[in-house]
Amino acid sequence: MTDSNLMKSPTPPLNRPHTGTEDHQARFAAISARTPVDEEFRTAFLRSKLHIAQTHPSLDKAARDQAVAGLVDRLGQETAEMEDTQPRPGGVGEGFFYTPDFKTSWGLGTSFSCDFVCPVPPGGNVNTWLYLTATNRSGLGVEAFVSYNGQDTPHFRVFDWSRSDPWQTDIPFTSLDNYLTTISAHGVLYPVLPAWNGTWAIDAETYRNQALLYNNVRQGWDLVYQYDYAATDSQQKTGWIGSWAPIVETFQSLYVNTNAMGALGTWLIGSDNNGLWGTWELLSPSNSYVRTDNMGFQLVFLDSNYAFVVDS
Amino acid sequence: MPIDPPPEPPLIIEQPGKPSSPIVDMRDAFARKTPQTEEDRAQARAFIDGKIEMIRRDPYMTDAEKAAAIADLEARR
Repeated sequence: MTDSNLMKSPTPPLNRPHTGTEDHQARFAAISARTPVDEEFRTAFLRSKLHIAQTHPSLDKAARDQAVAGLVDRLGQETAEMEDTQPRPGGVGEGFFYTPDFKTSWGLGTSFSCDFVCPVPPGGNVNTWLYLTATNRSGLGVEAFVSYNGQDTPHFRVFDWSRSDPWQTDIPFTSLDNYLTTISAHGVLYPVLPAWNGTWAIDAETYRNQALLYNNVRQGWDLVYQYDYAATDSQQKTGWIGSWAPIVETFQSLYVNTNAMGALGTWLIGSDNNGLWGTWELLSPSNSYVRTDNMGFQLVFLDSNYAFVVDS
Repeated sequence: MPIDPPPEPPLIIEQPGKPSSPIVDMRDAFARKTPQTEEDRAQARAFIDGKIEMIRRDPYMTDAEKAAAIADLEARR
């Protein structure tokens, strides 16, 4: 390419007046030289890029590795040595949330059931809490869920949002032999814990929360928790609590090499304002949406929107 | 108005299953036997803190919705 063919810079944007370009490179360079280097910021910047590459939800593992390698190639070996391991609670590795309309489209009662896909142990780099949990749409219902703490024995726990002493049932998996089973989905056998919980009015001022587990030995549901309390319809249907269907609730920034986990067969049922229960329906895209934060999980499969399994 | 409990949810049973047996009350076996401890209260705060962070990161909620939801949860801490 000759000088006469060199491409010129574009004309300035047209959205404001322009009276000619001045060269201020030296002044800005001098100011930059006087500004202390913020190593913490630089580290955070690189760590953030690494985190995005390591957790991009639409990249498979090979593509993530390739993205990380590309970053290391561009930014230096120090990038590869940055560990993204700071605790970071409140993420949604994968899961479903109820639409606002569906969350409140029940009369005097709502009930939920699913089979939590719950590997033992969770595997990979899980080193703190990790929950497989869900609500039944009510604001004062229970979370009857699988609770991991690192690679220790998981627990089945009940957190009752209607109580001031919310931690109730707490059972290690070693005591749940009659309830843990396996189910095949998409040709793979997964360990599951079938769980069912409900919230409904038992009189004009009182609601009942229940949690049940399916006893695979006698093939029937066992009532494991129940609590009656005073509440109003407004308390049950106002606010954010009760908005999450099955989710993988995370407490770390990045998950790597975890075993397959998730939920199968998410069913919901509601009663009308006369207390007449409808029929159980699978959760669907018309009444729920998928949330995926970048935590390193990737889908093994998703059946819209009643089942998902993720690994990392 | 009092209402009956909901009917049982459908089961994912691969082999032809016999009808589900009646619900059995196992609350005694599962019930918590000890009062809430300080550790329970700390765990409850951590549990709710996690939900608050979940709200903060929600890509679909407006700032006003987040503020209201967080205020509700903070009142429960």
